[in-house]
Amino acid sequence: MKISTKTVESARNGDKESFAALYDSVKDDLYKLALYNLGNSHDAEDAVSETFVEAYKGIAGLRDPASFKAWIMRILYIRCKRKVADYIKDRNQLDIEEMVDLTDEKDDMEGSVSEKFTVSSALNLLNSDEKNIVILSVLHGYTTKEISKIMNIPHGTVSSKLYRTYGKLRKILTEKGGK
Amino acid sequence: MNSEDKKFQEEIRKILKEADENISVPESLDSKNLLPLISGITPDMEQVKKTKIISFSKKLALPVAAVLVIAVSVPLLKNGNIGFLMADEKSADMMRNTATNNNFDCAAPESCEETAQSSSEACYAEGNTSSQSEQTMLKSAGIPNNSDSSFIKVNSIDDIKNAVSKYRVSMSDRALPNNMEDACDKSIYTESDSVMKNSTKEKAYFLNLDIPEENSSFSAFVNEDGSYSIDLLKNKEVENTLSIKEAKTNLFMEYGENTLYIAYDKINNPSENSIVSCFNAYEFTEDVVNLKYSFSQDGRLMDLIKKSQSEITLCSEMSIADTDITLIPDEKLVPNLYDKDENEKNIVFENIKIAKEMLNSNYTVTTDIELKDGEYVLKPEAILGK
Repeated sequence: MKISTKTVESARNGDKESFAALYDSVKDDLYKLALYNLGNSHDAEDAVSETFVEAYKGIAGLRDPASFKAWIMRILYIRCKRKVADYIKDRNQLDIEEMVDLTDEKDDMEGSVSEKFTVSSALNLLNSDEKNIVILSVLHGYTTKEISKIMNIPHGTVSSKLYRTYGKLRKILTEKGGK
Repeated sequence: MNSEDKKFQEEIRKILKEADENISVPESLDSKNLLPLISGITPDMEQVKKTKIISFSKKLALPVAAVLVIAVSVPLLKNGNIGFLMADEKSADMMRNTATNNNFDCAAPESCEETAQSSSEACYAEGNTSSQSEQTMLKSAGIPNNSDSSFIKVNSIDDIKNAVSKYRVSMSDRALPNNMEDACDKSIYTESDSVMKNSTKEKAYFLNLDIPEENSSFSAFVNEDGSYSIDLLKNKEVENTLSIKEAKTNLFMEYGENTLYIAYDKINNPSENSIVSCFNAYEFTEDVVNLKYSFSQDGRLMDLIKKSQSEITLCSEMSIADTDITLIPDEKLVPNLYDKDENEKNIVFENIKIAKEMLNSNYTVTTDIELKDGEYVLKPEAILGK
């Protein structure tokens, strides 16, 4: 969905309905990014709802309406990193496979389950930055420039990391006899 | 990217996409259920955490000799800490000549000869500083005379390996080999110009510096556009990324006293003895990476921005004339900086003040500079929240 400048302006002036409309346009991406980062729906829901509040408080500071999506994704991204730092001690590992397990229950998609498990496991072996770059790029279709804004790292870094991460995924999958 | 790579990427994309499409967003996250959370709240700039500048670039014009001596000496900074030098053959020759002409008993240039691999040069030094010439060199390079400052001559690849083993320094290609020998075997000590030329998607080079006791590390690599990116990591998480767009030849990294020193120089026009050099320093605090900027003038390293203002920097270019320090702002970045000194288009550094609210904050995207009551004030351009 294209973000309307007028809607952003209204939201900046405190119009809650406009803000809600903006939020709804990116809600799915927010939740999925949080889920991939945090590994469980409970924490992901918390992160998104906190992002909702924080974004509303801070939207007056958003200068470029066109960058709303990257802006709110970055708020979530930072919140997720903080949550990971806070709660990671209680977890041995972020478990994307757990999430895939749940989705497989209603699986009607093509391709073998083992393939999905293998790729998901490989994703889990990536570091946080690598995983987020792949998720934002591959799953959510963000450009490397947008990812650069969300993650606050140079555009060139995103491009090179994305390329390297593909190589890393390939190596992992090859070694594990997957793809 | 070859067709096989593309096919692989497409397969991964397809599998991930299929799994992703089956994730359903809980109803609790519908906006109608979240709106009560912002009941009574009004968007307010004041409620948003102020942020901090995290990237910059500057140039500093210095005489050839001074820069070369600094280039030789940068790896020797501070007591016992790490230094690393990547130099092309031409630069190494110039360093040698400079050292010879100044009667420096300089270890680095000679060690380059010993460790040269084909057209490549690399130097590493550590140990104890004792001789007068070494002290002179350190002093000339702007390094405070410290009896604990140290370096040794590096006469063989084993010396480098030992030093690397001690400090876990590695420079490598994508594979990041575990030791310097592997790196050398792969001719990683590549002439820096070649590194830049080879910095395509298919071939990237890295320089890693691990600080085990700090659980920190710094990874530098060359981007497609020829710029350097340096990731500053703590606990294996990227804490910050520095982009050095000006670097064209040499890159130096040194860590000491919670500060990462990064130096790089650019030879603009060797025939005119014109060299632009940049020195950046990054200071770690508990939560954030702060910025300091140091440069050499008349044999002294100076902090352009004092510690209390260490997070902030703003200019794109810098020059030294006599003893005056001036900032030459990037016109595109900060056009209103030219309002005050239209004739000279130079701003005396002391006139630039840092907005207090910018300090001790967490992050920012970029910055604006505002002329306020005769002072230039930085302000955040984008607020992202704490």
